[in-house]
Amino acid sequence: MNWGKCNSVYTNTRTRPYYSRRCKSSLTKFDSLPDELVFEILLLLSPKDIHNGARLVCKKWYETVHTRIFRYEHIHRSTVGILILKSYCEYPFFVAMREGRVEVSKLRYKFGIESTVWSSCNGLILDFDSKKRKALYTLNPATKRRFYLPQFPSQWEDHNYYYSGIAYAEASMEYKVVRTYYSCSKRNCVILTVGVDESWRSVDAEHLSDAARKSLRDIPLTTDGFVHWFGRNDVVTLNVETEFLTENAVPRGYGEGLNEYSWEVFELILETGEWRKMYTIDLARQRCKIERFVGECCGTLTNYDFGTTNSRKCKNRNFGNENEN
Amino acid sequence: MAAETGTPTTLTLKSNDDELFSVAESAAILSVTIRNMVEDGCAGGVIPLDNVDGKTLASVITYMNGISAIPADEEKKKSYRDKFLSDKDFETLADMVLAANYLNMSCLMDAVSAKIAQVMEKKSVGWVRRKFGIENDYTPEEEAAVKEEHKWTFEGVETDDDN
Repeated sequence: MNWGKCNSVYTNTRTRPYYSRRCKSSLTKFDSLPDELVFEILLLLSPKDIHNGARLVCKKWYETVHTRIFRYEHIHRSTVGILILKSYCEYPFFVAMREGRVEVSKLRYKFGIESTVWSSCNGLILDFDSKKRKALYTLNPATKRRFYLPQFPSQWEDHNYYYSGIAYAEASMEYKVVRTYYSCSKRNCVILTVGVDESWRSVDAEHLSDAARKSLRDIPLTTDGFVHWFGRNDVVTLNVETEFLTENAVPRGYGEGLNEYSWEVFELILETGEWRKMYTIDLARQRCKIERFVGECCGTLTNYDFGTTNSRKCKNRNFGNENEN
Repeated sequence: MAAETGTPTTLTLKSNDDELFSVAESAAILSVTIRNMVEDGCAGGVIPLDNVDGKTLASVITYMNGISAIPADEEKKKSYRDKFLSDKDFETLADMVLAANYLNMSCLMDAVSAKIAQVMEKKSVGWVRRKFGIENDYTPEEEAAVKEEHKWTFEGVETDDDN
C-alpha cells in the first residue's frame, strides 16, 4: 500500500541504478523471461506469496510489486467477498464466491478488543486503535500490514462523532480516508490521501443544508469512489476524486413495507439528483436457509458486523436502503 | 480467415533445431504470430520459428490440436488446459511460456502463467531465486532492512501461535 519505512532502504529511489546482475553459471530458462511476463506471473500470486516471497527475491521484483500499475491490476483480479466478524476476539470469516461456489475461510487475523472496524475498500480495512496509539490505521488482512494514519488534531477530537470511511479514487489510484467531527456547533468533514498527506484537509461543507449537514454524524457507507451519509431526509455524497460534497433527498417512500431481509435498490442520477428504483431484493422466504448457512459457516451470530472487503463490484452510485430496524 | 474455407490446409513449422512439424492451419492460427504470417501470404513454404526448440514446439502443437478440437465450450477447454499442464515440470513451463509469448498465444500464456504462479505458491525465497535464475542483489544491509520492514508489518499484531 505504502512505502512507509521502507524508504530508508533506498535513500534516493530515482537515481538508484538497476542492477541486473545475474548468475551466469546457473542460467535458467527464466533468465530470458521478459519483464512483462514476470509482471504477468507476479500478478497471479496471492498477496501472501507476494509479501512473504516475491518482494524478497530481488530488487527488481520488489519494485515491480510496489508499482501503482501492479497494485491496480492486482486489485482488479482479486476475489470479492464479505468479511464477517463475529467477535473481536475470534478470527473473522471470509465468505467469497469463486466460480459459482461459496467458499468460507478463516482469516488469520484478530482485530483485538481495542479496534473498531470502520469501513473497507478493495480488501483494505480502516480501523481505529482506541487504546495504544489512538489513531486510525489501514490494515491489509492478507499481509497483516498496518499503516497508521496521521493523528487527528486534538482540537477537532470529538468523542461522539468519529466515524470514518475509506474509498478508492480510481483516476489517481489513491485511497482516501474521510472523517467527520463536530466543532463550532457544526458537523465537519476532513479528508486524507493515504500515504501521501501528512495532515487532514478540510472538505467544504458550507453549501449543505442544515439537515443534510446533520447527517454527517452517522456511519458512512462507501461505494466505488463515493462516501455516503444517510440522514432522515437526505443523503450526502462525497466524490473522493473531486472531494466535493453533494446533497440529495432520500427517495420518496423508501423503506416502506420492508423487513430486515428485504432491500430496495435505487440508483441516484447525480446530474439531476433523481432516484431511479432498480429492483427490490426480498429474501424473507429464504430466511431459514440464510440463517442455517451463516450458522454452518460461523456458528451462531450474536453481535456481528458486515463489511465488504472489496467494494469494486458494488455499482457506482447504487446502494440499498436498509430498513431501519 | 483462409482456414475456414474449403479443404483443410496444412502448414509446416520449423523449430530452431531444424525439426519439421505439420499442423493444420486451423489449429496453427491460434498463434497470432503464425496467423499474421498466413494472412500476409508468407506461409507458403516452411515457417521458421527461431525462438522455439523442437521439444517445446511438439508440445505446443499437441496443445494446438487438442484445444482446437474442442468446440466453443470454455469449461471443457479449461479442463483440457489443466490436464495438459498437469504433468509439466517447472523447466518445461518456462519453455512453454516463452514459446507462447513468442507465438502470441494468449490462452496458452495465461494458462502457463497461472500454472507457474500456482507452483510458486508458498515456496521459499531461495527456491524462487534458484528456479528463476535470479541472483540475490540485495546487500546484507538492504536485505536486513527489507526484512525489518516485514517485521514492522507485524507490529502490534497478535501472533498466530494458538493453532
